Amino acid sequence: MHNTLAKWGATALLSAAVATQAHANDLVKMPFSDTPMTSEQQQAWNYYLADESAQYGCQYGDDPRLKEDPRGTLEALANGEEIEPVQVTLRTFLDASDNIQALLQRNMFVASMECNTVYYFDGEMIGHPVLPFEEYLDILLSKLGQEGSIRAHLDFLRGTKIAAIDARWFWAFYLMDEDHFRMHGHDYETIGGLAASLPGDLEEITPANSYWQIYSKLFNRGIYVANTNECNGESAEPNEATIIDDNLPWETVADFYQTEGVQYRGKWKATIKQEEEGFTLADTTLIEEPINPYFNVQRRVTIYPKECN
Amino acid sequence: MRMKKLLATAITMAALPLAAQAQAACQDDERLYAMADFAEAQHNGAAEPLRLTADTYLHLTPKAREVIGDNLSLLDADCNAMQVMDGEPPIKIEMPFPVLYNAFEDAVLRGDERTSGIVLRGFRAQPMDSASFLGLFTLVSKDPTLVQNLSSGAGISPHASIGRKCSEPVSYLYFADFFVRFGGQVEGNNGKAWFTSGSQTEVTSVEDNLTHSFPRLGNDCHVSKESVLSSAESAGSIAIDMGNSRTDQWGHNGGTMVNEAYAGWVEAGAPDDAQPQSLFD
Repeated sequence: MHNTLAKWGATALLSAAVATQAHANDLVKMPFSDTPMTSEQQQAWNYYLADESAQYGCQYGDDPRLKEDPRGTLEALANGEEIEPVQVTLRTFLDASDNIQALLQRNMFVASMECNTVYYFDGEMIGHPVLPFEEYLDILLSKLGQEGSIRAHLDFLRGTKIAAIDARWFWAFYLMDEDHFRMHGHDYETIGGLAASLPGDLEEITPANSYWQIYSKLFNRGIYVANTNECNGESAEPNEATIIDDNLPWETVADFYQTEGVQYRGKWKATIKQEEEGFTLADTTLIEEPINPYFNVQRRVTIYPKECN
Repeated sequence: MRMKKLLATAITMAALPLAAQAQAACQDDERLYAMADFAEAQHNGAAEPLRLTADTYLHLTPKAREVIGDNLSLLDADCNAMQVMDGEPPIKIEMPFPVLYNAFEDAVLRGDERTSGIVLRGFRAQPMDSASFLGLFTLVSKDPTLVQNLSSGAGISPHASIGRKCSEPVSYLYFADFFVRFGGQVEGNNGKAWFTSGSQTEVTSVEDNLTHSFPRLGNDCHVSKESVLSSAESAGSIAIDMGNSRTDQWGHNGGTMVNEAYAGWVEAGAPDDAQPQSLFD
């Protein structure tokens, strides 16, 4: 009798879930979706996610079954079939309808960039998921949209961490002038306001440093430089198609490196292209066999991993 | 020498998260993937004890602890199950340091004093070899609030920075300080491990011939040699200050003297109560 009722309940849950949110695009929220980022930029970020999480022995992201066969996966969960637990990113889970959440909770864990298993129980996480900055910020802004006080979201702030990131990924995606905030689907007023509302040392908040201040003030796993060259320095940099603000001045990056304790040698010299196009970062030299396909140019700057100091 | 220096650092940088994962190879109970079902069975008095790794046990939320109660078997580092009493292990369990540190920091971050207390009361860090310990002379954080919270949670005083031009002194803690707080002991090949530091901003593990640079604080503030050597000593090792003259360093006369003292100590049967510092007085 109990089983029949449970099956009935599950069927009703599945019907309601499917009715409200059955398409893969609805269920799984991809990084930088709903932003004007180019597909190359989105792919570059996905490469960062894969590369960073692979260092800990897993692949970050939503379970492929949620993308390839969301309905079948939900049906399997509803029917209590014996399947492998479903890996769900926190953003996908929180964005899902109540019914989908109820189904997922039948056999799921929350994804973490450091591959630690995070369980979910009754609105709380057992374990601390380490989230990519993009996803962390998206969740936080969404929460602030529902309740504007940062104090209302302390459980989220204290129960999660922002993943480590190579300094070059960070400046390519998160150092920019005010005009480029739209690439993230944000505006400076919101991001600068969030940076100002977080506790911590009050440096002057500027468009160039506001994302960076948010990252620094929240619990994070740090900004580093990958050591691929036995401490002889890293000269590979993100290519122009990856960088959000291709007018980024060298001084902004140099200030970032200096404050983050990243030693560097050399500097860029902005290159004037054409008057109507403004200037671009600098002349680049292509690297023939780059280790990271998105860090495939050199601009006469070498940086050194912190552990090589 | 240079490569050895790098190796020690690289080992440490990689070791914390990876060692935590190694413990996870000892598997959690699969019922954690569907905790609501377990809670229902528990409510009906029909649930078998939940088997948890220490890592997961130390991340339980207060609500989950209440639901699970004592119906919980805790898996130690060798995957042996142990029944908890009043929600806590009945005896101290030895676990790898990274598992304990990560759990402690996470508990402090979320203000969970019960769990941070359990880490201190119910667990002890497994002994560590001298080369691995060397890598623990890395700062736990540069965030002053976090350093303050971690130090008060653990009941230890942070170190104070030094430097004549250091206008805004910094409080700092090494991972080594928490290793000591968690009852960890460093082990050398002949019993006690030897560490030494002199006029350079570096510390050396004598038997490994491995040198690790002091972490940087920035703004003309520096960590002190004394803070490194006192932590090493508290972890059960012999800590030697080579002095402050130009040649009092590992690559110079200081290193030669320490190596000679170390060889003599080994020849004498590596007595625990040796005072080799007298060689440098």
